[in-house]
Amino acid sequence: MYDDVGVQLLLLDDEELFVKIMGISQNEITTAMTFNFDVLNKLHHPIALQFVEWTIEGNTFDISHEPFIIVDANSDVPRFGKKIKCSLDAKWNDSSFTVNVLHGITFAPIRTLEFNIQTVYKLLF
Amino acid sequence: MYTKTEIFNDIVSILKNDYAGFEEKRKYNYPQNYTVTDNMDDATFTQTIQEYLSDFKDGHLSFRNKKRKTPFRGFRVRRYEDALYVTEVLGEQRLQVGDKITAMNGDSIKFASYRYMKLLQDDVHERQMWNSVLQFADHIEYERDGESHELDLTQYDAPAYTPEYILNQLNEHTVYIKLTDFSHSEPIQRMVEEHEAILNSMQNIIFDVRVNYGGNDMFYFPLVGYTIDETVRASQIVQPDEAMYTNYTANNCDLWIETLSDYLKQPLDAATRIALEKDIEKFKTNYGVGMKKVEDNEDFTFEPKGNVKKVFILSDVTCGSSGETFIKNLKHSPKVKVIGRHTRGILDYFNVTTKDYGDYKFGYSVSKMYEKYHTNDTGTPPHLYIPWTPQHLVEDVDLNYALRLCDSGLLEESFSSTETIDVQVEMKTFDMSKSDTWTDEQWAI
Repeated sequence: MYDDVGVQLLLLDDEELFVKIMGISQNEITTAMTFNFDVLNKLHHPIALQFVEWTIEGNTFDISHEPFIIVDANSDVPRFGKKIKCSLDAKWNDSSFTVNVLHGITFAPIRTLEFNIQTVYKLLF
Repeated sequence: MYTKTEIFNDIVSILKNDYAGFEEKRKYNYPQNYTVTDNMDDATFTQTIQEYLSDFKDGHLSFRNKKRKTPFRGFRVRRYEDALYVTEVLGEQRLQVGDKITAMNGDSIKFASYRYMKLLQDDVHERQMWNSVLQFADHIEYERDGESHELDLTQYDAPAYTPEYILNQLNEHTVYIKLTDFSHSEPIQRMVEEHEAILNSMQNIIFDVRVNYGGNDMFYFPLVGYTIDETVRASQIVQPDEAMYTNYTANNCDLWIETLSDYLKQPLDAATRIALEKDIEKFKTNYGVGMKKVEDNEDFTFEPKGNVKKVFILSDVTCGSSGETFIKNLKHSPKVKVIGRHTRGILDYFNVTTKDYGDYKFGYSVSKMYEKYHTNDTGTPPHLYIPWTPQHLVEDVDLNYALRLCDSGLLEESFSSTETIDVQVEMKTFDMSKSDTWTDEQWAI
């Protein structure tokens, strides 16, 4: 039922945050695509991640109303999944999504990150 | 006097011909899935019609038994994670605000959410309509101070709705305005007139429409001036192709003219009265022509008022209809920031009229937005989303957040820039033209 694409993708690693996609899978029945993330919060306070929107196959899904992901201060690597409903042949490797990073207690905005995932083909001979 | 089958058949006919969404919602219209007989009891009949209407996923469709009181358990709840939290106690003194309900009728809340999925109307926990599901709960398990308790529920009289139009000056620079509906012009007009001096001297206004049952858009027009810095025409707020359509069937014209005539019975300012009269005229002119794009030659002009620097609008899922247009229209102003949660999402079909069947009444919309701008699935989003948590029962998280922003430049900073991060995925491919047999590595891929 689940088709695991088997991809790991480092998205960001700076002085505040580490964000990596640890796997992508698709449920063939619901067509929901799940992106599994590892996030390390290097700040001294908890943060809340608000996934705002996700564009895949030219369709933009507003997911800003979904619950925040709270990541504790100086966290270990918490893993969580985000589900996007799309068609079965959706190209995950040509998509973009926006995440608001908020203070985990006051919800004050810290930064807004827009990740664009693009495929580069390398020809082997 | 209508029989139950006559009412059902008439509603089916309205939904096929008169309802503004009759075309797009055809795929949800399966009256054959529901059985109505003249012998069924009133409660089952009402519930059957309500279930039929819930298929349409339009919060403006309603059916009510005027004689029978809505079953009420004496408290209200909201879901957070896999529990319901008591948000208000309105009769059931054995419960307290903050009590955590973990099961109803022996089912976990998660399991109950599958059982009543249709009535809950949303997958997002904080948006689910659990108060309408409570009527089916006879027994609950709840936690208070870490201890578990059980309770057999009973019936209470639902409290009558009392509109609130409140204006409070919170400090030297900030005023708080709570509006639970826009059903009447006069109280809002009076509020603006009585507090004109305060409104003109404030730097910050916080509008609280987290609970707003809608009404008529024109009734909040006296407040618009405080949210803008320059003269704004209504046509500037909407997109050029953001058209609305009205289904001018004879049935709809009769009912809507009656609805507008009722509005005219209340005290109104001259401009609102003229606008309503013109609207009635429009329905008389287009009587019986069917679905038609509404050509709006009228363009309201709003002039700025006062010296307000920042406007905050507190939003939640219990803000619907005209409450939503209040947020949707005003959030375009650069000095307005909407804080809280997405609105209910019942704007796609509007201009709600009521068909009276004696003991029952059926409400439906006669107008609709152009489909491209439909928002019923998500509601109108805030600028800054604050999830609902049980902490909202301890403090007014949304209001406190707005108050902090009144004195800081945080808001401007927060929406100023987005960091764009391009990530490339390398995919290996082979030039098959140069090889007529695959290598082991190729097969592996």
